[in-house]
Amino acid sequence: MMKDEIEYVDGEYGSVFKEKNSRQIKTRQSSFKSISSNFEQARLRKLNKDLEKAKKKALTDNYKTNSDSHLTAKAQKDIDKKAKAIARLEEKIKILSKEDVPSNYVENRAIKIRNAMMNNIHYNTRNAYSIGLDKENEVFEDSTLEPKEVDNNNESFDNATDLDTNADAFKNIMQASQEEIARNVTNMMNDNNSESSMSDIPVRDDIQVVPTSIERDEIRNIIDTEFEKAKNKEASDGTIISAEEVKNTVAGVFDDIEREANATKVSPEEVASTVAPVSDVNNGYSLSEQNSDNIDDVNINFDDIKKEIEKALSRVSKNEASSAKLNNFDRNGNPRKKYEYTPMTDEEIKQAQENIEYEKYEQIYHDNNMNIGQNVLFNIPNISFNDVFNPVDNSVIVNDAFTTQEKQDVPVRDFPVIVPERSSSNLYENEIHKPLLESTTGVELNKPFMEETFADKDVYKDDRVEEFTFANNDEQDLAFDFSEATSKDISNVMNSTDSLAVFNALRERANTLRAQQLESIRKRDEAIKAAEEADAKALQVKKMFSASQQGYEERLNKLKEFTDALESDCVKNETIAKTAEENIQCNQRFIDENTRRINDYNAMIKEIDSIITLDSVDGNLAIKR
Amino acid sequence: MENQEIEKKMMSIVAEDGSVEEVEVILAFEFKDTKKEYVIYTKNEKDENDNITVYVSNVDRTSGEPKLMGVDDEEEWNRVKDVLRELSKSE
Repeated sequence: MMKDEIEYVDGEYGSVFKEKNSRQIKTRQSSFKSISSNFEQARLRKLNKDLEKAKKKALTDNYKTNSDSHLTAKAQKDIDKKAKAIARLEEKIKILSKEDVPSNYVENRAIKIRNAMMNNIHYNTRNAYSIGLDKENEVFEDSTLEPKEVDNNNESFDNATDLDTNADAFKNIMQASQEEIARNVTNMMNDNNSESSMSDIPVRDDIQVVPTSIERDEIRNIIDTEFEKAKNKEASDGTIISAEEVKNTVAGVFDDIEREANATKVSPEEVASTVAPVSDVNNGYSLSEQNSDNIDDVNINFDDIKKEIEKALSRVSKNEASSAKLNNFDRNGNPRKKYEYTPMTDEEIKQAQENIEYEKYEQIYHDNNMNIGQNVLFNIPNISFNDVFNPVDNSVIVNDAFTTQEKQDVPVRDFPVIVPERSSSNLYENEIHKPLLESTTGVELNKPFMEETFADKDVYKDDRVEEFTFANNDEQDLAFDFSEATSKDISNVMNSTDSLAVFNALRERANTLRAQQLESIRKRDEAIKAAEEADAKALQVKKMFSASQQGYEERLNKLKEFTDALESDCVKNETIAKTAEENIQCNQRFIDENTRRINDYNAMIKEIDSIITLDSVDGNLAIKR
Repeated sequence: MENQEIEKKMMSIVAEDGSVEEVEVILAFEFKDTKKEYVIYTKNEKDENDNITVYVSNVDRTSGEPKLMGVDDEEEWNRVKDVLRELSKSE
């Protein structure tokens, strides 16, 4: 059959170029419908096949998960892609099957499939986190489009009980369990006849019974509830709840939880005193040699300890949670003291601030050893702080109305002044910067600061000064009252005219010298640079000269050779010419000689001929008659 | 993809002069032995007797882009007609 010879093609054509004209056929409506329908069925079959393939792949492919059993981002993307592809295929099939398909079918269906796939992956570890073919119905069966919520949480809460968060009920449970535990612990401690006495079980004093996660949540809920109540109380009746009240409330909750009031208190010390310390936990709590005499000589291993703990815990109801036991005793067994914070009063705070400021700012000025400063070179006397800020008396001297007697009462101050030798000091080399000793005015009252400039002509005689004290000057008055002094007054006192003028002069000179130095450095650098350039240029010229000289010598040599060659050639030619001339002469001589001989012979022949004749017949000679 | 586009397979034919014509593909197949692909399409043209004209072209995919070629070989053409004849009968 022709149908078996063909294979349907369900490709996408899009835009196609027509190279050549197509063949045409006219068909009846029924034939046309039949052909179309056959093609549609073929397409449907292919789509269904593709769908099956896609589903199988989605179920059997492996999807990577993280260490916490959550799918990796890549796996999730893969699942999304596959779900969408499956949804599209299903949509196409529905459309070709002439079913009604909503516009958002693909999106919703893809989400549903994806969620179903992800849900099943979590629980299917047999195929390395694939979904598994057995889950096909779960994943693809439900045709409704409402997606289920994804449960990405790995925890199973099937066994979780809905605990009543009622504080009273919780307290009752905790109380009962606490009583039970306390009884068990006490019994175990007091029971010496049992196989596994407490002495066999080493206990560490820092071990605490800690609640499970559920129990912690319980406690937290209670605390939160109490706080909420307190808060609401504050909001409702306007009363302010102090921190103390809140603390008491929380403490009250924990007090209810604790069982120390009703149980025998077992302090860590008591436990430690009856039990041997543990030396090596990993070896099953084997005992140290030091304390081996104090306890039973029984080998203890980890299994024994485990059994005892399980036995103790088995007496506690499964649904009752053990509570947290707060350690209200310190290491010495004494009750812990709660820290009580007492805030400072305003007075105390103010006093503390004043103390800080005093220490920071004022105390240092009461140090008797503090000197303002001493500069020997500038001949500034060493003035101590007390000299300035602790006047001798409180007399205010404002004018010259003081009597001589009063002036004489003013104590003389000897300042340890070191006056350098004028001849040895470099500063006084030019005799410019000598202090104005003769015209020194010392301390003057409220006089404006006078800055004097020095000039070369202002050279003073080199008078050595043996003593130099302000007190020698009658115009001085050291009793200066600073109680109403301005900053200018103080600066005038502190900085005498002479020293400042000297300083300024020296500074001026230093600046001048510095400028000169910079100028000289600049010139030096320029000279160096020029010298370097000249050297470079000379070197270049030298190179050029040597090159030209070399060229000249070469040419000279060549010329010499040429001339030599010419000379030798000339000599050769001369020789040749000479030789040729000699040859010519020889030849000439030869010719002459032979010519002479020829002539002679001819003459002789003639003469002979004249004498004898040669018979022409027989060739015999005959004398001529 | 629109439902219409899925239900009906459409094709845009670009002529030599550059004009574009939208047609509906009603059948596409290839012979298993020759691997030659054929497409039968219609422009929904009906004559006075309600007969529908369909066009048959050979699809050439050798250059990557599909091109519509004519069916020049008579034997080949007869084969195609036989296929169409058979498909028109069965449903």
